[in-house]
Amino acid sequence: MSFLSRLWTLFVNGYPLLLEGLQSTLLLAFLGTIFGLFIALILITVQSFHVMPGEPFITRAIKHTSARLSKMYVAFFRGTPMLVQAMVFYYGLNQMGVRIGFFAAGLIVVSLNTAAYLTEVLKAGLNSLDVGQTEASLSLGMSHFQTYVRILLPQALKNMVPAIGNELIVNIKDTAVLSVIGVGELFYMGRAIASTTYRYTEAFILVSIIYLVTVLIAVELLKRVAAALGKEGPRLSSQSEGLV
Amino acid sequence: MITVENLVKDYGDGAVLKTINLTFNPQEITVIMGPSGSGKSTLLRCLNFLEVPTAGTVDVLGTRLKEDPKVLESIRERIAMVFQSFYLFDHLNALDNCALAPRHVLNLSKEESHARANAALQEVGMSEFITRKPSQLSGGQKQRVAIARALAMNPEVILFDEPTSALDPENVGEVLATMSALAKKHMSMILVTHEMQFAKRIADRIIFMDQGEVIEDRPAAAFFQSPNSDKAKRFLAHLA
Ligand SMILES: Nc1ncnc2c1ncn2[C@@H]1O[C@H](COP(=O)(O)OP(=O)(O)OP(=O)(O)O)[C@@H](O)[C@H]1O
Ligand SMILES: [Mg+2]
Repeated sequence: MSFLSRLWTLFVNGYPLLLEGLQSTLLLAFLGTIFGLFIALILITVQSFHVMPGEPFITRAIKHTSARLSKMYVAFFRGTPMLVQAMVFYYGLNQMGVRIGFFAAGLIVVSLNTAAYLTEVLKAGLNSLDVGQTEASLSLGMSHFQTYVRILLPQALKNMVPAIGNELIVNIKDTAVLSVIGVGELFYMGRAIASTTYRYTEAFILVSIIYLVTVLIAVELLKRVAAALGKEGPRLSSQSEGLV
Repeated sequence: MITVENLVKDYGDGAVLKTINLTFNPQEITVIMGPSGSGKSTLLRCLNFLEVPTAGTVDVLGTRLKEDPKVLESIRERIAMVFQSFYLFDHLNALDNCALAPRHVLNLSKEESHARANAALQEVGMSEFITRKPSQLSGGQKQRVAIARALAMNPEVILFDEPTSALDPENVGEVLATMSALAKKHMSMILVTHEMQFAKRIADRIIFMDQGEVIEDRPAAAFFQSPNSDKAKRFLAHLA
């Protein structure tokens, strides 16, 4: 039997498993990116609090502390491999007697990890905005928080659309490491097929092909989303009118 | 209206404003002039605490400014500022640029704040462009929207920092015309500008600054006829 026909046989026999794995991978990547974005919004907001000398001590203390914690969070998740985070998280929870499913555990780890990266992206996006817009907003009597929510954040978010797409792509691939805690995503299924058929090379090549095709399709879709967001300027602006 | 006493600003390497004492009166148009680096922008920015003074006091509309968000917000909503580089909100169209603060600072309804914004844009002749984003406007148009954004707050005084310096020459006229119209309506204005002819036409009072000090503070007509100081004489001759 030729190599290609062996691949084909493997695919035909394994595709229910592979499909299930692919589904998990996509769900993990997609939900992880969405949840990560929401967590990132909280993390960056906490870091963006403006502290004024005229404020009560307790207000200033809370702002300082939460900003500090947020930065530590980002440093931890960016400074350690997701593989290790998954292990710590999973076994840590187990030891504390908390039982959650493999998928839920995996999703939490991806979300927390994505949050750290997107926080940095958001921070860069905020820093790239001209401080003049902040001054203009303050000079109108807007508070620092209003300025952040209504002027700075919308612009930073719009500019980070490509970065969010990028993170989604990264997550499609990087969720493979979650197989170590038993998450039944694509790579996990590939390994299962390999170890039952003993066709290791073919199984992993098959999995590679599925990853590649998925990523290429995702890239294409994201391009269209970005183009639609760019072209539909009026649409976006009517959304921002909603803010006003 | 605004009183500045013993105002000092030092960024760390020497005072940029050296003990300034000034009073600005309602309905007065004060033009601040002086060479580059003399502290004009710094002085203007101290009046709404975008720059916090190193020493001295600023009283605006009966309130002493201090680094307290509530105090600053309540004063800033009553004194507007127009910047050299416009600083429009890039993600909002002209109308929303003008409606944002009326809506969220003055807490007007959506309809009321849009009405305010529309009226202000009409006043500066920008009614046709309300749905344009800043990136779709010329420099002069942007500055007119920025003036409308200030007007929409019904401010008691407007601070202008070189509103035409960033413009192409062909766009300067429309912005000066807009400001002249405001002057005719007796809007209180404090403005930094190098537009000498314009200043001559609209100013009630000239403050001439050099190296962080007020060198002259006189009625405009008298100042232009014969500046007291050699520095001002040379400055005027240089611009003429
Ligand atoms: N943020 C800052 N940090 C340090 N020094 C500053 C800062 N802003 C202004 N300065 C200094 O303060 C002095 C006065 O600056 P200012 O901008 O008030 O002058 P200006 O009269 O407005 O000049 P121009 O006509 O060029 O706008 C200058 O020497 C400037 O370098
Ligand atoms: Mg200046």
